[in-house]
Amino acid sequence: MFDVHEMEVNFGPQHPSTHGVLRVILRIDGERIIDAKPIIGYLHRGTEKLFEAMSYPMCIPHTDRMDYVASATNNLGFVETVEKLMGITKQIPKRAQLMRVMLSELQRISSHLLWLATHAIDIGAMTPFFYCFREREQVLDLFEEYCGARLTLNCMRIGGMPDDLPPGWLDGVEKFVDKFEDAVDEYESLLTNNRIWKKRTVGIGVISPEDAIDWGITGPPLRGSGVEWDLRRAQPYECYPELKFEIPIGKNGDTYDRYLVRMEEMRQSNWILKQCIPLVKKTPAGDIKAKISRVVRPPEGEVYHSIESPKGELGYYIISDGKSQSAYRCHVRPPSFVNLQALPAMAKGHLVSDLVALIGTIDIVLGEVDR
Amino acid sequence: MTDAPQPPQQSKPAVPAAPAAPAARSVEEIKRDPLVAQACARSGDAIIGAKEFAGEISLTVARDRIADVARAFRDDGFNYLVDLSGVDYSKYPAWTGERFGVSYTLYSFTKNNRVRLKVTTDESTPIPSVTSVWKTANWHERETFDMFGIVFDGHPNLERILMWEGFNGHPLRKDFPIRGIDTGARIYPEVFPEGGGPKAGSTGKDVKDVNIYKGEWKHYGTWPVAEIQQRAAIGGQPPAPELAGVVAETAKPTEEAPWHDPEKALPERMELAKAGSLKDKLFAAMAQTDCTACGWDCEGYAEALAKGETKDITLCVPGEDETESMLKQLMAGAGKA
Repeated sequence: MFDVHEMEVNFGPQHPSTHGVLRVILRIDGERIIDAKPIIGYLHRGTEKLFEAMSYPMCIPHTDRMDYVASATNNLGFVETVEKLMGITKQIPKRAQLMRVMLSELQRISSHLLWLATHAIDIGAMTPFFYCFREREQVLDLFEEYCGARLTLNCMRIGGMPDDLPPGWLDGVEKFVDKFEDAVDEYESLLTNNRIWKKRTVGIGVISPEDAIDWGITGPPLRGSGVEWDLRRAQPYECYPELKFEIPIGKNGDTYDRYLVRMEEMRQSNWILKQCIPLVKKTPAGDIKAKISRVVRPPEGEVYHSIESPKGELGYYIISDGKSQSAYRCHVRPPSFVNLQALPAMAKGHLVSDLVALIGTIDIVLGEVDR
Repeated sequence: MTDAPQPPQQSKPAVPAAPAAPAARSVEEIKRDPLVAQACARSGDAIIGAKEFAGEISLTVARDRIADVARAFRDDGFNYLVDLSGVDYSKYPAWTGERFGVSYTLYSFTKNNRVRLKVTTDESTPIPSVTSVWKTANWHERETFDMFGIVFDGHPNLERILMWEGFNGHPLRKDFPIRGIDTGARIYPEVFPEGGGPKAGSTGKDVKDVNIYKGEWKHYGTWPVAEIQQRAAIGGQPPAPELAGVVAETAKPTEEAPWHDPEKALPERMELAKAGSLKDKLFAAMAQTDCTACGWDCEGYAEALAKGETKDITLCVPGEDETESMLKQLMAGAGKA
């Protein structure tokens, strides 16, 4: 039963700030949110069911379509899980590892840029959108030069990479990383000390580290709450142990801290890219694939493997029956799905317009939430 | 528990051999692993099995005790539930256990390692919910319920999450067709009552009353509602437009119906049926394919028209305008139009 002042309002699914088709049923008292109930599933395509019907290499393009603004990391998570299942993780050539790292760090930058652009525009700051897309365009051009696609990259294979780097690609990356640091400064000059920005983000959606872990939150939202945990450091994969980078953490666990964490992560990704370029140049050209059988038929067993995607812990849980060339069961642990679950806890007591900021700060992609 | 990690299968001799797998540990040895020893000791006999693969420990837990075991592990540092998902083992080669499995992947920040708990269940037995142990289990359990129909006992709000309320079936069960099903329930509620629609694994043919469509399952959007209702009212078979023009094996001339031959042209057929009854003339006007696109074979449609069960003369798709105009003429001649 409602109090006389309470009412129920549908937020979405066709609301521009829901970043896709998320519907939130709000119980509000005036402008204040009493309860929020996210309704998801509008973009459910049964990806996990499809995985059971196709061979492992055929699954890779489908992983692109889950988190469609960060497809390289989706590919990476999937191929690494299959490699772990087959026991060939150690056989991946150095050049392929570095290429994977470079593509996923570029992807992290482009995903964070899209996040910043839309997050800012949701809150009302129009200008950063144009600056962010300027740089994101350059990253997408680099992707296009490597694999022909800009969004759905399909750029990794089980056991290595599909193609060697095109001539001049590293120079293009070098050009980008040299300028990108200044570009981040430029975004920060627009927002970090902006009084309106701070009014809209400081103290909004505070989540304590204990709660964050209890809700299973990962990625920048977890680090924004002050937990120094990054899978690239905690459970390193590929050649991350050899690369230097820092894990930025926040103090208060509010929207502003999560913003700062992501801004710093872009700088760190840029630093990783800078370190990668000379390392790639040292590796022999063309050495991009482990010598494994073309038929992917892993032994019987089950593995869970996860990587640090731009949005958090992206995990794949694959069960192989040892007889077929397709997974008996492939479950995806999408970071957005789990992070979104904490939205009601974060939104309680805030204003409706803060909900827009909160959806932005979780950085959800509904393709991944619904799979 | 002899399932040791196997090296990957290799078809070419030139491939370098994978590193030799270490000797498999026994269940008791795994339970004494420093990662899980303390929690295992506290859980006692609730842990009924253990396996190791690719450096990951999986512990099989007695179904009724999972919540207690989960709490023991949480108190031992595994305060982050990474993932919870179900498996349908019904098509697993040589599987003898219960149909469903549920896996809980836990992570400990202090130990920086994961462990997996597993329980099994059948179609009807609920599993104790772990939502009171980790808040994050809420949506994971809802998803597992939605996708597999596994019920979690004690869950505060166990409802569908990815599929809509009222969806009939659990998509990740192995007997659910991969191309999906169309319940139609929400598209034509006046024809398909709420909660109707096919069950998981059905091709739609088993659904009585609400749908007596005998052809291949297809989208209701291509069926005119009025037609479905009319068909259902007269007890005939709903039209199967995709069969139109397919010549059935029964489409052969017989002694009683020498015109029943799709090779013959319409005037020739009418000539043969000249002396027959109205039904025979109507029968001869049909395309003679017995394709059942109209819902009957050719004779059945002629009979339905002759008896006045249907007045629709437009249903013979392969006969095209020719048949339609002839039917119109015959019906008008018999005073039934």
